[in-house]
Order: sequence, then structure tokens, then C-alpha cells
Amino acid sequence: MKKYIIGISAYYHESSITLLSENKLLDYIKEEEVTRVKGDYKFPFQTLKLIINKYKIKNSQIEAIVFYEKPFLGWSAITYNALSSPIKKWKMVLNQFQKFWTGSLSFSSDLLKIIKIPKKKIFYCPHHISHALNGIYFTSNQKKNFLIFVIDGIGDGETMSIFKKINNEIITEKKCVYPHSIGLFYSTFTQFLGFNVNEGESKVMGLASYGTPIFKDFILNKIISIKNDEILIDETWFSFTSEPERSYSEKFENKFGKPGKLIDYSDFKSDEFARLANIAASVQSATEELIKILIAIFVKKTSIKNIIFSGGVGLNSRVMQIVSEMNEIEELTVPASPGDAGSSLGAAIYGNMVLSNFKFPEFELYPGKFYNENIQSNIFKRLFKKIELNNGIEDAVADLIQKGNIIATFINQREFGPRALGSRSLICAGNQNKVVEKLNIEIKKREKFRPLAPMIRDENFDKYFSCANNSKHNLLWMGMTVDVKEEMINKYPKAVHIDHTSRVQIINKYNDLFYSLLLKLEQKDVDILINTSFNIAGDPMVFDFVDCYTNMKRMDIQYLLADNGLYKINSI
Amino acid sequence: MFKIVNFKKRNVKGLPLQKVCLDFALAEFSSAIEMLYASKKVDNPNLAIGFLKHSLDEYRHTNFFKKLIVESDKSNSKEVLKFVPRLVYSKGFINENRFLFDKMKINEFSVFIGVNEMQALKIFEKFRDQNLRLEDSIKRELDNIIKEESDHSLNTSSIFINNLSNLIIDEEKHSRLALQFSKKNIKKMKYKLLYFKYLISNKLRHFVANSEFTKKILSYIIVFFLILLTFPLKFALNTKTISNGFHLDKNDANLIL
Repeated sequence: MKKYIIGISAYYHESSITLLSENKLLDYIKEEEVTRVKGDYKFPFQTLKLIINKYKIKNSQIEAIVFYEKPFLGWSAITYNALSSPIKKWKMVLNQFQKFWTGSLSFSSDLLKIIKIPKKKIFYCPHHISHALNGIYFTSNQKKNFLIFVIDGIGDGETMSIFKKINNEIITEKKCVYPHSIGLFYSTFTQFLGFNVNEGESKVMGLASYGTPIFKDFILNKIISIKNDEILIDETWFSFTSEPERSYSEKFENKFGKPGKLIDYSDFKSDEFARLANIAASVQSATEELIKILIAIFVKKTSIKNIIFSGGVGLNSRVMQIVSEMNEIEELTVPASPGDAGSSLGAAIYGNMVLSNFKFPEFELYPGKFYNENIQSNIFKRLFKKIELNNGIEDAVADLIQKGNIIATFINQREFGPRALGSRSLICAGNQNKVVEKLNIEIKKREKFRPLAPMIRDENFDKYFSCANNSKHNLLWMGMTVDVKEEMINKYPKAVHIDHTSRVQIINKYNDLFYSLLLKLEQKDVDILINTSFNIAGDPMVFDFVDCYTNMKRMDIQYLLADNGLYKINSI
Repeated sequence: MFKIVNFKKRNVKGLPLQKVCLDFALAEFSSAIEMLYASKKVDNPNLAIGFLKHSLDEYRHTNFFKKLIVESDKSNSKEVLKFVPRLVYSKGFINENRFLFDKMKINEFSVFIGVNEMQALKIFEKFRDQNLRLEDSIKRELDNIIKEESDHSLNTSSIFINNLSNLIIDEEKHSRLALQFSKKNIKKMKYKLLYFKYLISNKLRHFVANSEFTKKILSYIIVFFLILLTFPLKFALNTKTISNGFHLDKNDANLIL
């Protein structure tokens, strides 16, 4: 009888579930994909029910259900801080008492609504350990020794942990605690610039390249700094310790001016756009500086040069590029999903380790299976029409792409993490500028300043890009940006960001469908595909055939590439 | 739309078209995903297609209100309102544990949709009329938007009115179809009982959702007593000294701290 370990992350960022069995990563699903609510943070009721039904899991088959944090620690750290000045921080006090009943402290009661298992099978993994284990899983060799940086907003009351992984031991080297947080510092600027926290940080990163970091020195002198290897923030600039809804203080607003609004980003040439871009450039540049300082300090201290970077700040692919280029380090690994959503994997690995010692599951970047059992075949036939092909599927898709079509993909084995790696993607030819622009602005409805990502065969990589070789494995899952060469700017300008970087995905023979598709396209002088996630901005990635249909309908996309054929959308 | 919207005259007069639009957008969005979910779960293929069409309509309506939120953002206003999908939970538009379709049988579900769509229709009509009464201010607002953002798709105030009219026609259609289906499939008495059940419970939900002032006062009182009660225990919450290291130990793994 198969045994299962279930890892769960929930209550703050996108909640997710990872399923392990017999040392294999079987599945990984975010609740938002199932409920269609982007950033769904609540306990993953729907996903858990779905996984139990899909794999026909009986209670007796569950070895452990592992939550990605120690719930009391996280709650008490914020509550303790709020009670230090309860009058000023009364909103936070109220919020924390509400969270006592509705936040992560209710994990076991929420879980027991779905599965009746004994409490001794419910494990709680220290939050930053779940990030660290998630990071180790994505390294090229898990037996090596590593210096692990976990930097995020907050988890278990901690904002940064540095661990040494030596043989089969993980040793704490340093911890910083709430409210001194690089993640919360960056999120404050995200909110100030008019974007949604936990989602808009990547937009700030993209916007930064359009500005000049005129406030960088001010930020590092007055707002956040590193003193004696500790992160220190001046709380007077922030209000996240006193208000649950607003992160910046009046003082912050007096210094940086009017908060940004989405409407301000429509005109690149406006003064308002320039002002906001300068602020974004300043916070991005300050963050890069802080991370570089921390890494230099601890590499020197520990003499370990193989770095793992996990935690929400690891989603900043530009910072990761800068780290990978540091002379002090030999190798950098950023997991495919360094944020909290990926931590359900770390939690599941922790459960695996508690039960079977220091043992990592086999590596799998595309663990998810189809979830289409509920779609009756006659419904599917009403939604899609299969295209009869004379040649191979790659030939047909290559022809359509060359003719300027955008193709949606729905491939079995979903990608792990927030970035579309081909299984749930929208793809088009990288050299057709008008099509790329249409895809970005009209179809995906993304902000104009955000670039799209290229996809290339590993063998062609050096022709267009340059990257520190020992960190290149991160490009299998778009873990960081890289510098582009002149040829890329000339041939594929729309896949290059204004700062001459790209967040490229490399395709190797392991990904046979895209490998052979790119080979076909190379015969037509297209060696780069544009790859963006299959969703409208603000929506989660598609999960099943019905989502494919609604999204294609809403985006007016005609063709769907699936494992078993090429389909055209029908009218209903 | 078949969920609560906090719509009152003072909302429109005081601020915020933006605030009203945010609630409308969230309500339409929650309906879109409820219908999408129903389309995946229902056995009957014709109903599945019907639910899917309904869902696509609701997504379109969501976009209309989302666009209005951005367009109606006054340049001098400090308050920034954004459409954040997860608000559907915190504002009570969607139940965290399960979708409506899992909670109700198909017949009950259809009465629920029918009654709610009918109420939504009335709210939208009220909204349109409200806007007609406040036509000058909205027109001014829209004219400013048009001047500043000529490349946006919202070009004239008449487009706004036309879009809203189309949306009302959609809601009428959704309500009519759902109620027709229910009448056909449920006994007359049961249909009437369910109809009035949702009519009354929706009015109650509207009342609760609109009682923001009462809720605020209540929170002040609760927090005051909580602080009084818990402040002496503050030091018990200091976890800085607790070791949170890496131990592969079952007993340690079972602890919440």
C-alpha cells in the first residue's frame, strides 16, 4: 500500500500542496489554480479534496501532513510587537486577535475538516527550514555543502536565516527577527508604487530599469541598513507594524511624495512615470546592495562559496543575477519557487526526513498531472476541435507560429513554481515584434514596462546570452535574469528588457516537445520563442481544459497545443 | 452577479464611484468563478455549457468594473483602491471552505442564482439611475479621464451607460434562465419556499454587509477589552529566546512552536 506525505503552505501568500510518495514528488498544486482566485491564501480546502480524490488516498495511507511553519511563533512575534505600544498599534492588535481564530493557528482544525487523522501525524516545520529544504532540492548536487540564505518578509517571526548545510546537518549561522525585514521593506515600496503586495514586487523590479536610483543612498543611510551583520530598519518610515492594510508611514509619504497609481504607468514619457521609476530603481538598487553585503560577510565568515538563496526575495530575478556574478561565490542555486508557495515542498521534504532521515526525493521539475477527469469528453468536443495533421505536430505548430499565431499550451506534467515553463504557456515567435507586443499588451494586458521572457535551446544559449556557468542550471526554471549580447538586441529586441537583460528559459533534451519544436523553428530562422504564462494578468495560470477554454475565449486565442494533438477553439 | 454589494446613496455621493465599482467588480468576479466551478462539476453537458457562458459574461462584467476603478481614480485622491482578487474572501463574497455548487443541490443552486441575479439587476438599475442623477459629476469625471487617457477604451460617458445597459440585459437573462430552470424542475411549493428563503436571506446579508459603522464601533470596544486583558500577558509572547533550529525529531515536529 502506497504511503503519502503531504506538505501544505497557507494563510499568508498563495497556499499550495505538495504530495510526496515513495521518495518521489508526485504533485504540486496551488489553491489559486483550483479556485481561480489569484493569490488565494486561505487553507487549501479545494486542492486537498482534489488531491485526495485524484490519488484515492485513504487516511491510513497518510504518513504525515506537514505545515510549513510553527504557527504560534509567527503569530506571537507580531502580537508581541503590537502589544509593545497597544494604543498606537491598536489596529494590529485587533488584527492579530482575529488571526488567532482565522490564521495559521487554526491549521489543524481546518485540516481536520477534510481529513480525520491523528494529531501525531501533523508536523510543523520551522518556516525558514522549509524554504531551505526547498532550496537544497533544486541544487545540482544535494550532497555538497552549502551556505543557505533565506530572506523573506516574515516567517515564524524571523525575517532572515542563514544556515550552513554540512553533510547531513543544517546549522543555523544567523537569524534576524521582525520587524527588521528586507522583504517587508521591498513590499512597502511595492504598495507605495501602487501595486499589490505579494504580486507586484516583480513589477517594481521591471519598472526599476526605467529609472535612476536617486534615493539609494538616502534609503541605505536613513531607512534600512546592515550593522554588525544584522538587518536594521527605522520603523518610523513604515506602518506595517501598526496597520494591517498599509505599510508606509506619513513620514515615508512626505519624503517620497504621492503614492503611485496604476493609471500613472500608462505614459512612459510623463514626469509621474519618471518619478515612480526613480523610486523603484532606488529600492531595487538598495536591495541589491544589501544582499551583496550580506553574502560577502557570510561567505567570508564560513568560507562556503556554494550558495542557495531561498525565501520571497529570491523571486527578484535581477538580484539573483547580481548575486550569481559576485566574485566571492562559486555557485548559486535559486529554487524554482523560492517564495512561500514553494515551501509546501520544503515542508513535505521535512516530513520525509523526520520519517526516513536526511533523504531528498528524486528531482522532478514537472510533477503535476492532468486534472481533466470531470470534463466529459462530449463537453470537451464542444469546446475544442482537433486539427487533422498531415505532418508531425511540431511541423504544424512551427508553421502556425511562423505565420504570426500565438499558441496556447496545455501539456501533461505541470511545471513547479510560478513561472510558465512550457506546460501552461502562451508562445509565439521571438522575432515578430508586432505579435510579441500584441501578446504582452493586448492579450495578457500586462503593463507596458514589463518584458516577456525568451525560450531557447541550451545549445544556442551562448550565441545570445552570457551567464556565470555554474549558475546556469537556474535557467531551466527562469530563476534569474542574464545579460544579453548585441545579436539578441538586434534580432529579438522585444525579448530584451531596457537594461539589456532577459529572464531566459533554457530547453534541454529532457523537454522533448519544446526541444523538437525549437529545432523545427530554427529551420525557419527562428531560434527563440517568447514564452509567457497561460493566463490573463491578474488571473492564476490555467488548471484544466475548462480554464483553457475560458482563458482562450477571453484572450481571443485560437490554437491549443496538447500532448495528444493540436486543437482549435469552438464557439459555444 | 449573485452576491452582496455595499451600495448606498452616500457611497456614491461621498466618494467614490471607485469604491462602488470595486464592490461590483468583486461581486461579478465571485459569480464568474462560482459559475466556472459549477460548469466543471455538473454532469449535464448542456448545463455545463450554460454555466460556462454565464461565467464568461460575469468575467466580462468584472473587467468593465475593473476598468472603471482605474479610470475613476481621481488624481488628487489619496485613497488607492485596487481590485485584489483575494478580497472576495475577506469581504465575504465567497465562502472559504466550499463553493456554492458543493453546498447546494442543482435545483436549489438555480433558485439561488435566479433570485440573486434579479436583485443584482435592481442594484444595477439603481446604480445607473444614481449615475443619471449625478450625471454632471460623473460626466466631468469621465471627461477628465477621456482627456487624460485618450488611449483607454472608455471613450465617452455614453459608452459607460451603454455598457451598463448591456450588463443589465445580461443579468436579466441570467435570472430568467435560472428561474425558468428551477420552475421546471422543482415542485411549486418548494420553489416558492426556496425563492423566499433566498430573498430574505439576501436582504439580511445586505443589511449586515452595509453596517460598517456598527462594525467599527464594535471593533473599538473589542480591542479595548482585549488590550486590557492581554497586555499583562505580553511577556509570555516573547519568543525571541525560543530555539527554532533543525531537529529531525518526531516530538519536535509535532510542536506548534
